[in-house]
Amino acid sequence: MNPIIQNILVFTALALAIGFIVRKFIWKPKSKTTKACGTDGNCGCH
Amino acid sequence: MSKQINVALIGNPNTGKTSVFNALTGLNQKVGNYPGITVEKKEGICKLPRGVKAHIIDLPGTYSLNASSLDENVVIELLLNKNDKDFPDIAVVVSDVENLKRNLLLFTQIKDLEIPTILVINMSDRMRYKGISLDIAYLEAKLNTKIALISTRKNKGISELKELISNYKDISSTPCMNASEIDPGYFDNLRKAFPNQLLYKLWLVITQDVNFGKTDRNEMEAISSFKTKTKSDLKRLQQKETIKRYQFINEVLKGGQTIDLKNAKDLRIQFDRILTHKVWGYVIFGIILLTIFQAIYDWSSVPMDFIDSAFASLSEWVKQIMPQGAFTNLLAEGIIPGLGGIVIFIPQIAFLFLFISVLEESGYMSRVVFLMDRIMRRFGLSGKSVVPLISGTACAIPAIMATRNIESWKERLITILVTPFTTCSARLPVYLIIISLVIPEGRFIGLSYQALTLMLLYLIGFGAAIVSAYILNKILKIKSKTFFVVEMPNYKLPMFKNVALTVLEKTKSFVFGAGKIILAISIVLWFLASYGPGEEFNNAESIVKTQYASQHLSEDEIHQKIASHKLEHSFIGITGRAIEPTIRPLGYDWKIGIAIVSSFAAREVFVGTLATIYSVGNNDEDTIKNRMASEINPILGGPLFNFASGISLLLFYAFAMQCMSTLAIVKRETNSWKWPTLQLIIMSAFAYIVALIAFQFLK
Repeated sequence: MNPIIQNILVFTALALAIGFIVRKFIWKPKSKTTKACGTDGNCGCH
Repeated sequence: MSKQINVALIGNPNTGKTSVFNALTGLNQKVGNYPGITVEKKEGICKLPRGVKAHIIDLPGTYSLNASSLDENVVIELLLNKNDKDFPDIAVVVSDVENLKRNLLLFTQIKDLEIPTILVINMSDRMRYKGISLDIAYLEAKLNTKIALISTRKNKGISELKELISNYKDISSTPCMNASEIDPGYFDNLRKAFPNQLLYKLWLVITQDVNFGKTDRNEMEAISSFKTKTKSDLKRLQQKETIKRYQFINEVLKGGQTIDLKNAKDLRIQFDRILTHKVWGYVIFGIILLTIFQAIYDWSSVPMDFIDSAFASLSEWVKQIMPQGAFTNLLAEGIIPGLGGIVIFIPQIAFLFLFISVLEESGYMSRVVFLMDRIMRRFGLSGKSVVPLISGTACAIPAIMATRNIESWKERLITILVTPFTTCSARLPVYLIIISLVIPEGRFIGLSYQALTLMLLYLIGFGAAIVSAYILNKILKIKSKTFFVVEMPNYKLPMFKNVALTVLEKTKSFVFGAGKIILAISIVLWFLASYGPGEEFNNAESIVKTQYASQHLSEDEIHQKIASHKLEHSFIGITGRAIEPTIRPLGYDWKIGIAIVSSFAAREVFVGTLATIYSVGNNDEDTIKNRMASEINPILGGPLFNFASGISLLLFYAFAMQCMSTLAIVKRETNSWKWPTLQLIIMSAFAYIVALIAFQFLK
């Protein structure tokens, strides 16, 4: 695999990861916050 | 196209409603939440005879239609709102053969709503032991319904129940009694004022403390032709209604149920006498806990070792088959070790929930709640606080939400504040890896030191919770009173299907929930550990080669020195070393510091972070545990994870508020930033001091 493609994949993965962390812990869309918990484990703690 | 009908499963708690749901739906089920609130919504699909499909909703357990909690509101809201997409075509009321009298109260109320209702009498296998016999035909006639006598345990009567549901059009929707007899004049007025509305529905809307959907109580009061009553008069009428219902139920059961105590072979009383005994009760509970922790260690060591080495091999394999480059390194050194750090704990998490589920299913957990109430009261908490503290062993978030049924604000606040001390499943990976590194493998009277340490940590968490509750009870000047009522369900052999589904669901949510965060954090950490600013990072190879030119090091040693130099001067290395002075007195290096900071997102991230940091630049096929064991303390020399630093870390995690989401939920439940802020500061400061003392004392 071309090193440039490898770097593109790395930076894409990084951007997706940062986006996920920001959405999970910093900026939450309002509709998500109401579904906070239950035994389905979607308690926002993991 | 096959027809789909809505079926609502309703019943008192502990009637085996969930078992009926599982028996009907199998694995065709999903768990969610009701919109806007945090009450669990379970629904599933069941295939019925003649091509009919049933959409089954397992509604929260409720004793009556007189709502006193969020859970009960959900049941009433659905049954009163015909426009709801889930409004049932048929209601299935699940009752327990031993508590038929109490269960029928809810049944008669639902019948009054004129919804076709089937009565399911569950646990029929226990009739023999209890000396109970039922005249089903008589009961069906008197209750004006169809009855399914089933045993989910023995898998009996389920197909008959399916048959009854599929013939839902034949089920009567006529009430079995006339509740308006409690005050005929008042109900006549009500009927005249709202001729198009169902009478019992109107009565429920008037008497409940909440407004339901489109039928607003204020709207009703605004109609001049109808004069409502005062609150106390309504309460009196409600009591009269309940008495009237029980009179009817007693009359029905007199003819349809016989209990011959001479034939009863019940061991429940004898069991209760021992299991809730003020001395033996605690001894037995202690023995059960010890057995659980021992089993968690003994049974999971083989699968854990297998998973650990499998991930190490997978990293190595990825490096071999993929071309060299940044993305290959990200996979082999970041993502795979990071995920390995969570997958490795599946066996232990599964065993923990297996035991918890067995204890709950068998009915023993209610005895524990009763037993612990004696202790809790001395610390200013009620028995109701035990439920959040015990469920906190899974996760503090639902546990904190479970405090909503504590009426006293003071007790509720104290429970919210102390629950994060309970050892949650997210602490488990941290404990397990550190214990395996610093506690020897020997045994004491057949129990391994490692299992005993783990149990001790659970007890420390629980102890910290009740001691802080005692202090808070003395400090907080809020006056309130509460009472504690717990239902003791019968002892049962746990059903394999229920236990298996619980274990599967909990393990799945742990792995997939935590897995996503760990995956994201592993990618970010790998990036921060693999890139860095300035000459020291970019020219690491030439700097190291020049520095060690005279020492004739091997190729591998040089490679190790370069990797180490790069890591130290990477973004993560620079950050880590900036915070190192604050954590050095606790016996930690900068890498542990980074793991502590990143695990503020979720505690279990700690292991994944260390796995990622130690993997960067490392070409050996080695397990996470071995990599951690071989780390050397840069200042003191010797293993970084030794007894002193290990105990210090364990105590730090036992007390620290390392969970962002818990803080958010505390804010939401207390409606103030004051309490989560105080919680964060006090718990973190306490954790730091205890960890500092432990390290300085043990080093």
